[in-house]
Amino acid sequence: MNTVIIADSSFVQKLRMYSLIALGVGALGLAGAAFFDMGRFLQAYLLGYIYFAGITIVSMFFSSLQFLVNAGWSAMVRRIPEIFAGFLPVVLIGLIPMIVDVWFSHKLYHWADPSLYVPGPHFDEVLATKHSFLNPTFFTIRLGIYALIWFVTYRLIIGNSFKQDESTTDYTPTRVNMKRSAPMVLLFAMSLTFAGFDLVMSLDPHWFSTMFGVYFFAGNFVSTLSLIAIFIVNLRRQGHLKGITDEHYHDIGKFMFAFTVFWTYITFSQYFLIWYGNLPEETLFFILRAHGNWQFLGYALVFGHFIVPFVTLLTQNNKRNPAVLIGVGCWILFMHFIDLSFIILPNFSPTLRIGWQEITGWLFFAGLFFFMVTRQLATRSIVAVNDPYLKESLELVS
Amino acid sequence: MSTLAQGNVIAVMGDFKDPNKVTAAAKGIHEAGFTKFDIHTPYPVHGLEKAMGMPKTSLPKFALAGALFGLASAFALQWWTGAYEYKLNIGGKPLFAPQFGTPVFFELTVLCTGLTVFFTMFGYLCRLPNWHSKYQYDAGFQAATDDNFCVVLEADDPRFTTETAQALLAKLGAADVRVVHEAIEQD
Repeated sequence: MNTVIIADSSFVQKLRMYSLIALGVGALGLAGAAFFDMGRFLQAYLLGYIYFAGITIVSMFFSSLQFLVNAGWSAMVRRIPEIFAGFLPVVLIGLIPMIVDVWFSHKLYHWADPSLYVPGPHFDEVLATKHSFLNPTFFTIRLGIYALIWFVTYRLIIGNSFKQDESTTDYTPTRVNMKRSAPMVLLFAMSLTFAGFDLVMSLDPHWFSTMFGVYFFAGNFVSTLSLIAIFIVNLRRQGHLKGITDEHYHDIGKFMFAFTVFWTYITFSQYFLIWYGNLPEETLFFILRAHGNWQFLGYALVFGHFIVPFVTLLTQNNKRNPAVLIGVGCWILFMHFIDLSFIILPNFSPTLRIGWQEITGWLFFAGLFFFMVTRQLATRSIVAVNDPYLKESLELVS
Repeated sequence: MSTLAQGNVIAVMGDFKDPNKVTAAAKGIHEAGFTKFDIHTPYPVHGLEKAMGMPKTSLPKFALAGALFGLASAFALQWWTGAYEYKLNIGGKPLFAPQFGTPVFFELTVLCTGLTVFFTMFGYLCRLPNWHSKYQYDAGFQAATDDNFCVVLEADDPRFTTETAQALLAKLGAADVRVVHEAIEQD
C-alpha cells in the first residue's frame, strides 16, 4: 500500500498556523516571566515541559505496548502517538534548564542548595540523610540515563515502526519490535517513575510517596489517549484516516474510560493511605493542598478529572460519538493541566496562584509540540501502511 | 413410556451449515419484517444479533440501578453503624468521612452491580434455569449443539403463515425447511 502523507493538507496548515501563534505568545510570555522573576519562569517552564514531555514519552510507551501485546485493533491508530513521539528532541534538550538550576540557581530544586548540608543555620537534617540520592551530580547522571533510555526507545521501536512502511513483504521490523518492546516497556516504567520522582516529587524534597511514579504515569497516559482521540477524530473528519471507524472510536473511548478510573484509583490510593496513616512526613503534601484555596483545585480534580469523564464515557453511544470524544478529550487535557498545577505549583506558593506565566509556559510547549507534530506529518505516513495487523484493524468489530 | 402426538403448528425451521450464510439469512428475515424468530448456533456468531435487528439489551439500566443501590447502601451502612447507632472513636478519625468510606463505597457498588447483572441477565433476560424447549424433539434443533445453524420462525409472529415462512426460508437458502408441530406427551 502507498504511504499516506498529508503534508499540504488544510489540517496541517491550520495546525502549523495555530502552533506558531501559540509558540509566539508562549515565548513572549515566558520571556516576560523570566524578565520579572527567574523562579517563576522556571516553575512555568517546568509545568509546560512536564505536560508535553509526559505525553511524548507515554506516546512511545503506547506504541511499544501495541507491539508487545501484538494488538490488532490499534494498527490504524498507532501512527498518531508515533508522530507525537517526534517531540522527543525538545524533551531531551528541555532538560537543560533543570540541570542548570540544580547546579547554579536552586530556585526550582531547593534541595540542591549546598548550604543545607553544612552545619550551620541552614542545616537540614532530613535532607542530609537523602543527600546520597538528591545531589546535583547523581541528579544529572540520572537525567542522562532517562534521556538515553528515551532516545534508544525512539530509535529502536518508533524508528523500526517507520521502517516497516518501506517494505510490503518483509515483516522483520515488526517482528523485531515485538521482541524489543518487552525490555523497552520495562525500562520505560522505570525511567518514567524515576523521572517523576526527580523532576516533580523532589520539588518538595521532604515529602515522598512510593505511589508517585504511577500517579504521574496515570495522568500522562489518560491525557495522551485523549490527544490521540482528538487527532483521529479530526483526521477522519478531514477525510484523511478513512480506515478509522466507530469501532476505533469505541476502543479509544474504552481506553480513556479505563484510565480515567485508573487515575482516580491511583490518586485516591495515595491520598487515602496518607490520610489514614497521618504521618507528618507524608501529610505535609496534602496539608499544603487541602487547606487554603489550593483545595478548590483538589475538588475540581475529583469532579473534573473523575466524575465528568467517568459519567460521560460510561455509555456505549457516547464512546462512539466523535463530538463527545473531542469534548471529553479536551476536557481531560484541561484537567491534566489542573492536575499538574496541583502537584507542582503549591510547592512555590501557599495560596492558589496560576497566572499568565503558567499559561504562557503551557502555550509555549503546546506550540512547540504541535509544530514538531506538523514537521513529522510533512514526511511521515499517518497510517502504518504495511503493518501486518492493518487488515485486522480495518475490519475491527469491538 | 410416553409417546408423542402432534399438536398445532408452532414454528417453521430451516438449517444452515455456514455462519456467514446464516447471518445473511438473519438479515433477510429481519428485512422481511419478522420479529419473532430465533437462530440457534453451535457457538456465538459475531454480528448475528445486529443482522437479526435485535434491540439493544436493557442490561445496563439494571446495572446502573444495582450500582446506585450499592453506593447508597454502603453510605448508609457506614454512616449508620459508625456515626449514628454506635459511635466509636478510632484513632481520632471522624466518625464518618468519605475518605475512609470510599473503599467500601467502591466495593459494595461493584458487588451489587455484579450480582444485579448476573441475576438479571441469567434469571430474567435469559429466563434461566429453563429445562425444556418446545422445539427439543426436532432433530435439526438438537444438531444446533453440534454443527447446525438452525433458524426458527415462530408461529406467534403476526406475519407468520406456514406458507410465507416456508417460502421465505427457502428463498434465503435454508436446507430442510420443515413445519414443526407442538409435541404432546401421551401415556
